[in-house]
Amino acid sequence: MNIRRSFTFTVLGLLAMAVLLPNLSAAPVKIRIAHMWQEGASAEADAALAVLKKLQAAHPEFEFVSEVVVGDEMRNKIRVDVAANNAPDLWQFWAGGVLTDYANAGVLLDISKYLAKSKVVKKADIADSSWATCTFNATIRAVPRNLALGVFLANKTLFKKYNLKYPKTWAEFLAVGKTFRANGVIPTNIGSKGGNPSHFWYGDLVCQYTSGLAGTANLSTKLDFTAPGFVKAAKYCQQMAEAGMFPDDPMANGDWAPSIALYAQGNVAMCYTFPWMYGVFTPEMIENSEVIQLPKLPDAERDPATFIQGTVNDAYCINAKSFDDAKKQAGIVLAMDALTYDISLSLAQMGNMVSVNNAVMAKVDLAKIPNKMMVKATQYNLKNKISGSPMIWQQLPDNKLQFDYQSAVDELWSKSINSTEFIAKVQASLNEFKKK
Amino acid sequence: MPGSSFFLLEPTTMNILRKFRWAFFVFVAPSFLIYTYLVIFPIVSSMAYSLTKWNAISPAVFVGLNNYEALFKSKDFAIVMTNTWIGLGLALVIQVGFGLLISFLLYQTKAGYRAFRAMAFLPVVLAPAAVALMFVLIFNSDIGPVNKILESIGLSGLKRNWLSDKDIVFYTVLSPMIYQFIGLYVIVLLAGMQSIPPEILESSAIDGAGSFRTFTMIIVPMIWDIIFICVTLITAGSFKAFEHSYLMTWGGPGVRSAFLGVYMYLRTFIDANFGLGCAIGMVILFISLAVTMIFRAVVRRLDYQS
Repeated sequence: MNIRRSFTFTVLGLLAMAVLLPNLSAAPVKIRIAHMWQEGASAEADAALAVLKKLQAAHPEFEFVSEVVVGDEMRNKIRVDVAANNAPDLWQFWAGGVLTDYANAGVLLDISKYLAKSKVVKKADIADSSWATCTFNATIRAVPRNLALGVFLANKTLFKKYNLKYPKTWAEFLAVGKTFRANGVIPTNIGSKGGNPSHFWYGDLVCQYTSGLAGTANLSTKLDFTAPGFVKAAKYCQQMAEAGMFPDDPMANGDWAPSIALYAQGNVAMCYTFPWMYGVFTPEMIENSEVIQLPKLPDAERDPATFIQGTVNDAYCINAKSFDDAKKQAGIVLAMDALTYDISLSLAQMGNMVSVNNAVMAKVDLAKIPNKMMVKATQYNLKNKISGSPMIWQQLPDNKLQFDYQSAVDELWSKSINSTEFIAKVQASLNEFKKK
Repeated sequence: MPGSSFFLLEPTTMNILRKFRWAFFVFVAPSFLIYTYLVIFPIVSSMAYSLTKWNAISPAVFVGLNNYEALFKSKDFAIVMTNTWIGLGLALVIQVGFGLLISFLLYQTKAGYRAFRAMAFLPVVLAPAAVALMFVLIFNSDIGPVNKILESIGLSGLKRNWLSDKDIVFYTVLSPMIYQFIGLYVIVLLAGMQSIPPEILESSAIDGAGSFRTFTMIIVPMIWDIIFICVTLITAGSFKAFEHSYLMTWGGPGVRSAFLGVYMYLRTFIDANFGLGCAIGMVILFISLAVTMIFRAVVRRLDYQS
């Protein structure tokens, strides 16, 4: 009898423990963060991950899980995750038209809800123009992350060797290109694979015309690619391709890393790139590079000495469903604060990014930035009061339009189509979008 | 029904099977369920999605055959289909041709046989991504060795922009694809040759058949089934070819170097048009099946004639 009673109490005790234990030592709430920082891949990645580790140590009640996907593959990951109803709670993405589908489908949180809870991010600290890149139907759907201003560099040694002056006009630009070509030097590093970095260059030429600037700014609403600025800039790009101003094989030398690799080898006279590539510049490359202006087109209405392609590039998104989960909300706010403020500050202090958050940038001392390429470019931009011009790709309101545009730029660069066909191709894609 | 062991079972076994018919379902059900879930269901599901407009985020909207209509009217799709057929033709000729040749040479090799066999198979085990990137560097017109070699041997006229010239970029992308997998067919065909009874070859040698005659009149006819397997694998591989083209050129410029697999990926994930992507998937499925069936019929006929 006693044995039976003991057995009964033991079983009941075990059952009670099984029920109570999980509640006594509650498992941390999981917060999934999809980002692009692969451990050990770069100093930037390690610095960002160090902030996340610190956050984890300070908040054991949450488990901050990193889901790392580098580059364009993030687009696939998020789309497939959303389709499978398995989207992360927060993710790093791009600003602009690439967010449209998610905003329209209600996947993204109305950011005003996050701002109301955030302890560090204030709406006023970020310019309205930056918020505009993440605003859909008058609602902010993502927090803009960084400003990316392009830079155009000249290889000092090569210019000195051939006794050439840095070009300011189109004629001078083509003339130095001719001299370099005659001596086996590739005039610029501007290849084109997936439209990089070529579509930025094209956009820069477009913005030398008032019609181009307005056309780019209104592209998402007017869907018109036939403004004179677009047409003229395409003609000049065709002229550049025919004059051998680009690498011979723009596909092989396109995209970010290959285009910089070509410049790093010292056989390219001028380099057009963006801050996310500054990390690969060696001290020798920086020392040997002079920041110069883009050449002014013969009939340009705007002076490229005062602007360059640059706008908000990345943004952070919050899964609306996750934010509505009371258990997760506090963790999401903590993680988002870390992403938008702490990581941004850390990376800005290293010189790996320019944050859109003025409160972050106020804490950055330019003189102490270790990334000297960022220092060099920023000093040039401040001295010459360089402003950012809008980006065509970002203004295109649909993934297909963006890809068709990138693909057409590749064809223009590789001389598969001429400038007229290029304009017609992009406009046809816009017309198709209009019909839908 | 010759060849079907089921009908050769003893009457008592047949009786047992008839009595416990349900046992058949018990044994088959797990495999059937897994196969249905992993193969049949995705096919049916893709077929259904191919009739919709769907961006994977908003609900799918039924559009009937619009995706197929758009596909067959698309100039890009025509270029991609042409690329795929040319790719298939060249892959069949080169991979089977060289595969047969190299495997026959290996078959006759005594010294260093293992080393040569390993060398032939080595490219197959390399990651396609690594091979693709290696070929991007090799064919890079600005810094790669191909143009430099052509120049150094006085053939500057043959220099090309291998990855940007719309007329040749497709062949440039095709070359590592074909090269990388020849080794696989060498090994498959070699195994086929090694399964031929040696007495047959000995008799032919006694009858005075040389290497060429032995190869064409004995070995090739005797490994028809193996060649057919290679043809099937190459066909399926050609229709879903992806890595080399995507990594080397993104299928570009435009879609000049894209195959159906790349085109499907671009439309599905980059354009976020999952309905159209599924329609392309269906086209790949049906063409692959049709081509395989045609080849099978041809092989059967040849087999019958021989």
